[in-house]
Amino acid sequence: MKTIVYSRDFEELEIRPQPVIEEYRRLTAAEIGPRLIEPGALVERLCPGCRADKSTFAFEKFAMEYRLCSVCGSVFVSPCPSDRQLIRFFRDSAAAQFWRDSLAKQTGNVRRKKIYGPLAEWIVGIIDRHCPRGRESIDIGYHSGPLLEELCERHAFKRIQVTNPISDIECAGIAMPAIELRPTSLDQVAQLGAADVILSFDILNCISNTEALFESARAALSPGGLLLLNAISISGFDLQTLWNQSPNIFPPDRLNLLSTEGLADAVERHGFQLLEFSTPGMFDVDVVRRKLADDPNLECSKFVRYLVMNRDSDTSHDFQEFLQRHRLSSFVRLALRKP
Amino acid sequence: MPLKTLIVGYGYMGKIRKRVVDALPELSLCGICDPLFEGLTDYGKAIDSLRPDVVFVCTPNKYSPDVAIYALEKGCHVFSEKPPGRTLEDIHRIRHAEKSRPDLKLMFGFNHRHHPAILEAKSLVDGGRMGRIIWLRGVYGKSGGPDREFERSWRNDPEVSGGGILLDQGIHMLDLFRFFCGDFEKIHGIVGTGYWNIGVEDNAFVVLKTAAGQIAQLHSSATLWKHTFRLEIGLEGGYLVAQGLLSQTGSYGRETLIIGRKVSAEEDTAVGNPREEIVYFDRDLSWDLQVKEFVRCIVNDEPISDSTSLDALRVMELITEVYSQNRNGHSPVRSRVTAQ
Repeated sequence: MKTIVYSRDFEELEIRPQPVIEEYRRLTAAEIGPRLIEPGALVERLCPGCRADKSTFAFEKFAMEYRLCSVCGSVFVSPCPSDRQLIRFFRDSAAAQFWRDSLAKQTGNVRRKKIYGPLAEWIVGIIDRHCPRGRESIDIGYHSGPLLEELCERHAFKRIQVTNPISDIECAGIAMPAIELRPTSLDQVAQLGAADVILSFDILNCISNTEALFESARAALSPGGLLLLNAISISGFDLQTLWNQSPNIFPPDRLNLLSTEGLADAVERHGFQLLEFSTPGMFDVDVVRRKLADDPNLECSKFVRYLVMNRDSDTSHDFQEFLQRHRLSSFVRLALRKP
Repeated sequence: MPLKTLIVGYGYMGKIRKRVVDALPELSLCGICDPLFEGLTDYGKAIDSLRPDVVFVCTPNKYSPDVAIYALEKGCHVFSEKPPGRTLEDIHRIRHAEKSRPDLKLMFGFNHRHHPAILEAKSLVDGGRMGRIIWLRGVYGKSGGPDREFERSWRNDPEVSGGGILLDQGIHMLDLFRFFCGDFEKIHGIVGTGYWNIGVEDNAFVVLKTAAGQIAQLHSSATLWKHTFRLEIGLEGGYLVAQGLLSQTGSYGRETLIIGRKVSAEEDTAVGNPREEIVYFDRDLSWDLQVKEFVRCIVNDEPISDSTSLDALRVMELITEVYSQNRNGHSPVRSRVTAQ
């Protein structure tokens, strides 16, 4: 098993400009009630990490309750909106529209260069290494458009079947020979045919049924095939430090925040072999620093406050690299193989 | 039926091989032979009496060719540690025995090819997305250890070992150079004994060049007070640095692979300081992977394609040439001796 660490060459604000992100949050908060909190439609859930049924109240965000798993420490929304409600939200809400029209467009160039280009490099590298025959792929993604373009530029796959279970609008404008749009529900993915590689980026946090993602990926993959995915994890430094005050925890984008242990449990439970577990996040320290600067009275350990507020940028960079090296950043990336 | 397996030589390497043999269901250990044991002390008698299918040769360099040849003559598949003896003549003798038994498999213990950072680097190079290799630079060295103990080791007795740090440890790096670039046609080496009171070299510097113009440089040392393994690979589109080894003691540091890509003209990153990706590995399966491949070839009756006797011959030719240049008192650039 391996872990990957990246040196940083861009700032968080380049991909998450503060005023735009604030507006996205405001729109999301405003629409949660009318669109997602439908009495009788919310469903109680087991822990999406280890499937334990023991959890305690963690905190509330936008009138939704986050639970803390007593066994693996994952944090998740329960009761949770249904898939039907979530699809409607991600497709039709003003917040989702704002993401597509404003945030994605404003930050598109830098995201493509700094995030999706390197991500595509990582994907082709891991396929060359572990699944060189991998030419048939399925993308179960959310914001997949720029990544798919990067992959096509690299001729990474003969065919990519794109099935976005929560919103396929971003992919609709992509017309490349290798890409086929195949809208389907998460539990029907296997019907698209056998895949060598399944890509699942930016989606584990925002679906109501994480079990379905792992199950359908396993069913669709050929033996030796790869499932590549990412997620935000509650075990990361910024989320552990800021907890309910984190600006990056809010529904429905973050319904599931699996812990490292919860992720490992899910991987094992679904019979995948772990090839890589990395937390190549670059912004944990920046997120905490900005939050502490905005809210000086926020509860926080003295050491962390001193570290992020009083020391120089070299210390911050080194500490962020330490977090990556020891899998303690909140941004997680996994490479799994079906035996 | 598991393959009956005999280990000849039960020092540092013999113990590692036993762990691997014990872990593989396809192999069944039938004996361990070592002169320091009370039971099986003579390899000939051990092979004759136990009639193993497979023999692991883990003896000092002076003995390994004779053991390997005897085992081949008696119909055993052979896995032999590196180096393949003390001299070029030794590996020629082994290859002669191998040719007379084409039904048997022979592999040498160039396990560094199977270290995770090397496998990852090889995959990236072979993938072709980073372009052609331009150069290689390797440093591999150790501190020697407590003075008298190191000086007394058989590895530093020219009569037993046949050479110093270049033959003992540098051979791995030279093998990796070949693993990545193929054969070298020019080699220029300087060896010296600068610190230890031993009859073999404690430092070697070697520069090599392939017919395609790829240049490689090795520093092999027994006076690196911090244990070091570092292989840098310069490619047209970036660079790779494999460093550290997941060894038993961990003294070479955590095994990592740094991947850097050349900054393109339109990127705003400062030229000369690209974003790097550092891959950390936490399990060394090199011993197991190599032996598994050996066993797979035996079971499926497939030819050995990794760490073959030809690989052993080629790398011994390089080392022999360096020693020859230094015995002659000067180090001119010379063409590699062609294999017979």
